[in-house]
Amino acid sequence: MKLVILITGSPYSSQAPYSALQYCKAAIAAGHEIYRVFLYQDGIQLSNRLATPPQDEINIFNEWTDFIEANSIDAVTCIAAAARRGVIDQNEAERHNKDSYNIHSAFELSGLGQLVEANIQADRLITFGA
Amino acid sequence: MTNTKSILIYLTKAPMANSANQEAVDLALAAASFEQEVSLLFEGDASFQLIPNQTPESVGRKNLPKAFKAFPIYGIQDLYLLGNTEESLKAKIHAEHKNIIEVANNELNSLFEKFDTVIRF
Repeated sequence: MKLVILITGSPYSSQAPYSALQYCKAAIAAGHEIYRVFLYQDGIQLSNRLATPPQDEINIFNEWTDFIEANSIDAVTCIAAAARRGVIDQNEAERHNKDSYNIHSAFELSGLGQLVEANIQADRLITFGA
Repeated sequence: MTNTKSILIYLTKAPMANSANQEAVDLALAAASFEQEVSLLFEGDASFQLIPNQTPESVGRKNLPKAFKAFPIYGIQDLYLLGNTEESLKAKIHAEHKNIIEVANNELNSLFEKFDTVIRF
């Protein structure tokens, strides 16, 4: 089955990104395809490359970016939800005259159309919320 | 494969508590503009945003009830209200939203079955 994964819960404040990762690993192991992972609402925080949890804790940010890179997953962060919350890429930083940007390169900043398109292509959309 | 899917946006959060409703409505409008068949379901505290004469601006929030008025222009299909909403609140909602469809709790599963996708906020 082709799956689209929607994460709306924030890392640490919610279990959503961790549950979603476990789900994606199990789905791939069972022969399913992750068509796209889409971060929306507080879920966008997962794409912040500056997050640095203490070393004796699970680093959900690294776990996710390693998984995305190892499996060539298409991972998209909602641009409107992210910009509101201070996660931007280099283009947005230049456009809004900010001195820095902080999105991880495993994620692409794009619009809600990417979620709608993924939902059209996929067999199932699974939401992981707060 | 069809390019149109039916999507139920399922709202459960109180209107001013966080940005869940605003971002849910953003998704509803985006999906509708991609020619998807979008409907909305209001449950519990989420139904408070259907009452008329609200001023969300006074607590620094966008006026979503105004966006609701634009739903027909976007071709957003149906609004559903979960039936366990308080009676006095229901009366106000029905007066403001003439075409809202009431759904009993035990009809929820069959409502979900009508849609390709359900997204809960």
